[in-house]
Amino acid sequence: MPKSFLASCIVCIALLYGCSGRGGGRQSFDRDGTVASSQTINYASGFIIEECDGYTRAILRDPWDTARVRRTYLIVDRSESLPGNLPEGILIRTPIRKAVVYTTTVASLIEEAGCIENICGICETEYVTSKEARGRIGQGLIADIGPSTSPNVEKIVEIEADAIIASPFENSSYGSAEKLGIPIIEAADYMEETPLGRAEWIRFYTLLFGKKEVGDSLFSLTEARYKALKDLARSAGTRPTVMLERKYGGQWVLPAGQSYVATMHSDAGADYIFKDEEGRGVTSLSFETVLDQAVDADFWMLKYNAPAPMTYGDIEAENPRYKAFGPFARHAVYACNTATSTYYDDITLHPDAILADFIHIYHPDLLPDHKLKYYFPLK
Amino acid sequence: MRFNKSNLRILIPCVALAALFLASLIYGAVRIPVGDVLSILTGTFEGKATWQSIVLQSRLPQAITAVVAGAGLAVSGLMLQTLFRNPLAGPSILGISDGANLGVAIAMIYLSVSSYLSIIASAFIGAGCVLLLIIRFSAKVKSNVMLLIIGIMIGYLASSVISILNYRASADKVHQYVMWGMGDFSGVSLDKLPCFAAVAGSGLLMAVLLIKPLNALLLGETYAANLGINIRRARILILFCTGILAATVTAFCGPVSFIGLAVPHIARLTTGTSNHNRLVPVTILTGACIALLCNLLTILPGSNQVLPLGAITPIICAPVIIYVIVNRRNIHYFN
Repeated sequence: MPKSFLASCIVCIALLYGCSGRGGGRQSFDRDGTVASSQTINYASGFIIEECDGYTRAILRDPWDTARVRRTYLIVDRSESLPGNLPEGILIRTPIRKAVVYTTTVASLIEEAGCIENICGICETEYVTSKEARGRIGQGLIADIGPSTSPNVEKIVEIEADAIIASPFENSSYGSAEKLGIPIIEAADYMEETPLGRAEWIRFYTLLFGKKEVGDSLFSLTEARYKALKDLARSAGTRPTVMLERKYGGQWVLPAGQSYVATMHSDAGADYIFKDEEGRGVTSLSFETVLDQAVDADFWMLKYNAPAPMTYGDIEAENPRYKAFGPFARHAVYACNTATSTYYDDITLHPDAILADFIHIYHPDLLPDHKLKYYFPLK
Repeated sequence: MRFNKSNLRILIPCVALAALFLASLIYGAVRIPVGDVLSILTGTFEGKATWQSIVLQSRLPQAITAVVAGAGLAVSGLMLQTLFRNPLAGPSILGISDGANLGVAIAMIYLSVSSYLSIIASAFIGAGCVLLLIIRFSAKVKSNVMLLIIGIMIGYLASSVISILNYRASADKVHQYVMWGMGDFSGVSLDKLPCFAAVAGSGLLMAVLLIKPLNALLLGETYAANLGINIRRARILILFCTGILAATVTAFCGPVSFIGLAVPHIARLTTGTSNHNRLVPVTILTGACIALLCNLLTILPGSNQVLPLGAITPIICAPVIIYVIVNRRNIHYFN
């Protein structure tokens, strides 16, 4: 009995391992010889776009194993007939007419590219901030698909969506949505290391809606503004030190050294105190580590989600030891309320707008007329 | 003074407690030389103000919190195991900590409250409601096993409401709630420590005063009644005392699992008795030691990073529980 149990365990593990190898694209991240031309992607590391004979190929790199291909999309215009030489990949007929978008961040990008009519479903619609999108939700033109972690698959079928745009997580699947036969397009922009890398994903998204030129021009504008602001910040004589976020539970969770948030503060001419912490996402430090290294920081920037603006009294009540930090004593704490600002809508395509806030805070003389939009001094 | 075995059994956890307490002040994510820590404690330090703040305002209250919380959870686990005559009973089994979790989930996710005091208040309200419910049921239901089942069911109800709240919540609120749910001894600052220590300390004192009815309950309810113990009153007092301890610790430190379940077994193993005269003090001391040890282990050596407390307590305590299940016959239980 134990032997047969052991044998069946081994068989199960072997089967599971075999399954995981399929569909996920185990091939390495390099190109074959059928490419006619490839578009220059300057900042994003997560995708490449290649113009091939009769179709466009978009290859998405696995953000967690960058040597691997995560998905290959073969994009063919609806008005064209399917070429006979299509290689292996997920076929998408463009422009997408009815897209279901799992994240409101990507939905706002698509809206900005002028394709709001092509969205027929959004997950977690309560976080949609744009008036037009809210109006369309109210009229029933955009359906609420439920939480992005477990979307309402029956609703997706009912509204006859022809593509799903979802955020990938490491080693996770899309459940029964994967069995619908609707192509799932992975929006891994949030895994980019640089703000412009993240913004460049607009070029991929607009390609799916037949608005390639719009995407290219939107990105060029952001790129130009961001680079100009970055150059301006470079001219600053000083680099004030900055600490970020605050303690949750037993840990102080803050952006790691290679994250795009860390890059943005550096681009704004600040010296992020924890820039040497390894990683592209976030890192957890103890309170005493943060206190030891950041006690004399020049600025403290934090984000929160609350209906009312946060005050010094609020953070002191939360943890009286915050008083020990220099920015608290000097009233140099700036906070962004993600519940009332459009921070998460703008972080992808308009990092330049957020960068302008940072530069105005760190170097007020460089952008004297700028009006803060996201981060405000704590009252 | 002559040291017999039973004196030694009290002395060892006392020494361990003192050593672990000192280690908690010396060892942390930031390296501070031992000499400097000692001079900070004696008030003769004239160096970095940050180090002084770390030792006196961060490590010291954290160590005291761990001692009080560990002792409180352990003794409430012991009382519940005796009351229900069940070696796997613990403070989380009656749904009291689930009640606290629910209170916090409603406050954080539904009401978008994030201030520390309102989180404590909501945890207390949640735990208090469940405690009152349990005490009310204890008057109606005679059998302790049935009461235990009711407690477990209330816990499930609370968990299911929490799941629904989490299901509809935004990622950062879920994150905030999950972080709270991992337990943490560092949340109690010096100014809140007296309040926490006073409430938990009175719970501990009450537990010591309940030693006599606890010993009587070991003989079974009928015998205990023959000994002149008012069973109903004893049951309500034990429930009230464990409820106050579990609610206070969960409100201030978040849910800390396993200590309440495992420590009474360690105490029984080391004392070799089920007599609460000896078991209660040893459980209190061992609970404090285990909590300090778990707190120390949250700091990864040679790294700035910290691990959540909720990930450490099962690593220390779960092997003890497995040992107990395997060797149950060798340990003195409810006889």
